[in-house]
Amino acid sequence: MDHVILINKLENYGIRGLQLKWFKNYLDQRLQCVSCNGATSRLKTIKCGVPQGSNLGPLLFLIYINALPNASSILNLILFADDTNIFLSHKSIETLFMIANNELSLIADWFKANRLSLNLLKTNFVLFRSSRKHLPVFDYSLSIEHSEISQVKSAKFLGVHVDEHLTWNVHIHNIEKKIAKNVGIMTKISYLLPSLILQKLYYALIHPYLTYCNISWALNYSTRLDRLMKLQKRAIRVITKSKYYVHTFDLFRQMRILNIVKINILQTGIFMFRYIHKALPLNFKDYFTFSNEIHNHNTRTKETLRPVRFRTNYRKHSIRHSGPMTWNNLPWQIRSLKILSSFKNALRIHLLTAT
Amino acid sequence: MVTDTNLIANKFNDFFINVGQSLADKIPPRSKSYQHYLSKSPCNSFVVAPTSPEEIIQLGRTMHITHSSGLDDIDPCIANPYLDLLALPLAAIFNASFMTGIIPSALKMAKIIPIFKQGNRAEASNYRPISILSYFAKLLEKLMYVRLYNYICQNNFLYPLQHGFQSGHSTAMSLIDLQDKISLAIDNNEFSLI
Repeated sequence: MDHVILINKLENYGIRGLQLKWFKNYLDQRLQCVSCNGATSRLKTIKCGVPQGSNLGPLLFLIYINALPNASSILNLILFADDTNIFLSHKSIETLFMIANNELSLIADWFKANRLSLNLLKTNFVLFRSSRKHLPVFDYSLSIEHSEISQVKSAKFLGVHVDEHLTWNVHIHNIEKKIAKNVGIMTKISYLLPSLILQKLYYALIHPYLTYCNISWALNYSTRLDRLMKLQKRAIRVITKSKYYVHTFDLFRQMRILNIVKINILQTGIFMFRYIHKALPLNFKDYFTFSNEIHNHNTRTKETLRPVRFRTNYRKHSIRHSGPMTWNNLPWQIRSLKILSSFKNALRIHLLTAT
Repeated sequence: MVTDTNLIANKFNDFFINVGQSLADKIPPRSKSYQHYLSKSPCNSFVVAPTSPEEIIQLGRTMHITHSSGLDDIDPCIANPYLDLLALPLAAIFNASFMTGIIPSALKMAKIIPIFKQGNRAEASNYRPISILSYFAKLLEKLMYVRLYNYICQNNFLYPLQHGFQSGHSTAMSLIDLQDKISLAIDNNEFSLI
């Protein structure tokens, strides 16, 4: 990050005079020394970048790249700090690639103008389409600055593999491998440990994989989730030291653990709760509509949310459809709760007892 | 191959100082100015409100005291319990900093610890620098952070699809957003790129 550019940007956002001087001073003349193995180096001045490990650093970085979306008016940019994802869709594949190539050169200009380097080796693209749709014979390629970007079948988006047909198979297969390994470890040492510790191990080694972004990938055909379900059941049997043929429904309830499908309902429910109470980030503002926003008739369903219409199951499995469906199916006692923590608890208990 | 620990520390420091600069030098010269992309500057200005001992004590409760000490060798777990005694002079120092636009140089020193990532252990580029600031520097920064963040939020400066480093946002949120866009495109018989 270039200090002069950053200071100018801060000024552009209305940080002037004394305040601007403070930030200049904050960036300038910083000293650092390296300490390793008990030895400490001499102090030296830092030349560029924001201080690492600071509170302000990330915020200043956000300000620095905040104008990036201004570089292109067509592309949809999804930013997660320095992780930039660009999204674009079009009916015709030829037009899609033409626009994309044009717009990417604008983005590259922005990076150059702002003295940021783009790691082209880590850049790639996925062409999303329905699995039934045939690719037209068309020689397509994307390039930035004359170097071609490679196409991949799935891309890692914030730790989740998103594949070109939105099946989540790649992601599910990946976490399946990790969970299988960890269940194996737990099985081998289970005879040494009490259930309580095994339960803790479950929450450390297996549960995080099952919950991370579950709201997106677990709303899926049950055949795709089957192997994960079986692994989770195996883990439960290990914790409770049950035989391999024991039915797990009661075990889940006894250990107060939710299965994958129920975790999905819980997460969707929490998302909808935050939507209703306007606690979501701004970009989700108009995601759903209430029935009474569509018509004025005094019907039984006037207070429910309208799921979005869908043509394909791809859309059916997205939050716009599943969110309202899940929310409408919850008992009204749970829906009418006002505080998130009590809502979570009530929903969890409701799901544990539900068949 | 360097074995002397002092020399290693100095070599690391040289490397971490120069890595950003050498990366910046590789970027081809600009064709357009960055100013071209900035939106119109707002009329209102950012005003820093002075801090108070109460605010500092309040802030101290949210600090992670398990973090290790910076170059001043003051351990956060020692300084934090006595913050109510320190708050008054600290407030005076921090307010003076806000008023003059100058940060005490002692608060601008960072201790860097190289953390090994992967590859060859003898190669400095395989280490990630982790910097540790003084406990008091962190307090000052947090005060400014709260002020700047509130100012930015009130004026809605940030791009709404920026999900990083913001409370209430998470990786799951951006994934939901992406999934929604892709599924809509497929539903409309479109191709989409990411």
